[in-house]
Amino acid sequence: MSTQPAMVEVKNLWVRYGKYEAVKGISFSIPKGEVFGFIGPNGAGKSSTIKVLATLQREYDCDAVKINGISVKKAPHLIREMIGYMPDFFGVYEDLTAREYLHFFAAAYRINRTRRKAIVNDVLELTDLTEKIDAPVDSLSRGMKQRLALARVLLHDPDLLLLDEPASGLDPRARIEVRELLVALKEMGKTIIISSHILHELSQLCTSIGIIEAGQFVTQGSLDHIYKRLELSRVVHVQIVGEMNGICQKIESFEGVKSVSVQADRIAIQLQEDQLAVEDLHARLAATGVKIRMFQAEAMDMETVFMKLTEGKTA
Amino acid sequence: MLQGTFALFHRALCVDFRLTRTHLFRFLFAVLILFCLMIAHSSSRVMGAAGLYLFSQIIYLNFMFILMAGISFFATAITEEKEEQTIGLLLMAGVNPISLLLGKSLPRLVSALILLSIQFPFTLLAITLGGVTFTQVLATYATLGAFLIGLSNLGLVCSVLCSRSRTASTLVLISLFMYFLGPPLLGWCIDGAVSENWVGANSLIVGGTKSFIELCYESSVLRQLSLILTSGFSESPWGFQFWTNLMAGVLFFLLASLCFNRFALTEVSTDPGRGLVSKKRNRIFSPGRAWMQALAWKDFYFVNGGLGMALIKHICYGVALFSLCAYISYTSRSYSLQEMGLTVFWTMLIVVLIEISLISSRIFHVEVQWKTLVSTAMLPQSMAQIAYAKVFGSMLAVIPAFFYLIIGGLLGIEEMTQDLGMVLAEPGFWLTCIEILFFWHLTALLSTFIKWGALPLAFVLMWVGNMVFFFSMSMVIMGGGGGPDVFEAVTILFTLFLSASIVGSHFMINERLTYLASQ
Repeated sequence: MSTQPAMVEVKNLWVRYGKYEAVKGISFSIPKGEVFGFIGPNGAGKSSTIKVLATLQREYDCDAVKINGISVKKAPHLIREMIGYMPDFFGVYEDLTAREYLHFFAAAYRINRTRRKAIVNDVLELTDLTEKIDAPVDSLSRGMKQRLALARVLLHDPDLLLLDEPASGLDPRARIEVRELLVALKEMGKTIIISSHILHELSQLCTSIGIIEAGQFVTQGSLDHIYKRLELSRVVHVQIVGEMNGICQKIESFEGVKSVSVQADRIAIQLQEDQLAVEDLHARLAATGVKIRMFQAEAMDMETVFMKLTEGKTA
Repeated sequence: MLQGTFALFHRALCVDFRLTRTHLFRFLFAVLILFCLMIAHSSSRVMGAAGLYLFSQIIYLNFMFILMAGISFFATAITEEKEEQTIGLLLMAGVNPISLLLGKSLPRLVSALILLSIQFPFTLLAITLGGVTFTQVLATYATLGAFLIGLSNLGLVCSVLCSRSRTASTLVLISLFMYFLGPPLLGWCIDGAVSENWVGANSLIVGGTKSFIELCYESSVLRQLSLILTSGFSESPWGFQFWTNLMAGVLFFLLASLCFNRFALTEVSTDPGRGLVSKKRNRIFSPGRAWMQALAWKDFYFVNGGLGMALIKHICYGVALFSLCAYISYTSRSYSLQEMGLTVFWTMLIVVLIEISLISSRIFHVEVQWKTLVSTAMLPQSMAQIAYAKVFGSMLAVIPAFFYLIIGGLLGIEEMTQDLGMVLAEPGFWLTCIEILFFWHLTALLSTFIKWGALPLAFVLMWVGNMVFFFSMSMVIMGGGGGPDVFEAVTILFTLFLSASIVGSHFMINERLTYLASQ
């Protein structure tokens, strides 16, 4: 974890809609310059949490929700100067051109008239929309509208970007373009909170993630930390030639093996890696004299992490 | 063929049953009938034919509701599917255009007819109070039923022809104006032309026009109602108006079916076009660079048409006022500059009232409709500041109307100053002003709750509220509860109550917009 002061600090956050509890006491902290991936199934509470940070959610309970040390509840106007929020739907004035749209928001953010043109040109260049400057927003593709929305949140140069499902509904090319844009923003030192279902894209972008399900964090931390934690109970699939009489019991007796389950054509061994490494398991199996046809440790990617940690529950 | 109709019918009934507001609306209606009954009961002690009085109240209440339903409820049957872009899906699901038209219009018509028919037993009570016969009751409901069928199908045609609910509602409104005011205006013009010897009194054109006007009068629901509600009515309940209104309903439905493929299947955007707002920056109608009051700039140009629309309004109002004054000057013996000023003033006052009413129904609704409230709410301003900036931008669009209003006021300043001196001392004047202000606020508030029809709903609510207030006051005075002083005192109290409600509505709109932004 970074030692920089926290850009975002959330302590014991609860969001309720009537009797329905969307967020149940989550806490997390994001240092400056980090890209935090917010992962969870639909209805997990991601958007509610992001809305709290975006000052849009008024009814919630918490011990603290702070951005740059300022309470979101107490000073929403100050917070809005510091953040850029992009919701999961367009919500753009479609009868304006891209130029009018950005100038409108630049003026609304009270950016000085003399600086507006340069800033609009900069964000258009960054989002690769310079050629579309006079095109009506209505005529832009979905990916371009998404980039335009991103350009809009960058106008006032916010420290923190809150991006709710920025790549949802985009085609592969548009997704890659948005991801590249986010990488550029990360390199510019922006702190970014991004919620997404496109998990492998987050893995290329995020410095830390939080997996949320049914309003509670299942896990959170740096990707290395989470991978390491999950690797503690890595599953190894083994195919053995010939009869398996008594072999399962033998494997179960190895120190570091949590469980062994017999499947149709293989056995699945759940391993505690801090006690028994994958290669040591292979060596010990071989030492028992069994003929191994296949030995495969389960790959640990972001989707595996997600599937392992969540059960598809909603709050 | 009717499977699609039944499916849509079933869905509409289920939705209708689930919505609390439809039950509340019916409850409100029942309360109003009960209120009218109480009034009639109380007044039966001091006046004759209390039954006819009660019956007339209920019937005109129904008539108002039918008009409002025509403008909002019936005019949006197809446009709401267009706006949600679901017409294609319904046709793909095997629902043919006739089934779709029936499925969308019949449930609405049936709901309205049920609302009408369930009152029938209660209105029979009017017979026992005296002054009204069973034939009159039957004839009145037949008249209203036929008018309802005609109007619902007129709404359907407008809904097929127009791409947006707002346009369809406007078209129904214009059609209703033509239906009710067209014949007298045409008669006025023909009489004027005859008196000026432009055409001969016995010419074919005058005879034909007069016959047409007579036919229009004969088919008019208002004329038929006033005829039925006179004492001694003994004609058939199924008169000319009944059959012509029914025929009109059938013809409108056929027209809607014929126009469906041509108009209803066109892909429409729910977002407004730029209209006269130029994209080129050097043009006079270009919005140019955003003002420091960015929201006002956006609302002025992109919601209310900007400079282009302002110029068009300026020219149109000028031409219309010039024509009106020229006509009055030509047909009157004397028409002073001051009288001309008063004509301009009162005409433009009505225009201003209409323009602001339309603005109040759109000002916040467009943000909800375009889903732009979230990005607007993220600006470093309070929701109240955002809302007032929008109001400021929209009010700029009323400048052309205000311009002529002020000119009219200046021309007739002498008489207006005299009148103003008397009027300002009247509590009724202040009540009217506050009521108009409250009406605009109510419309704006309602537009954040409902998808369409905020303006007619606000109008109905105001009408009902006023009716309840003034009847209650009349009853208090008739019952010996006090004289004009009491009436004045209550009027002042009511004015203060409405003023407080206006302040309250600012907070409620703020809360509502903040809530919608968080959704």
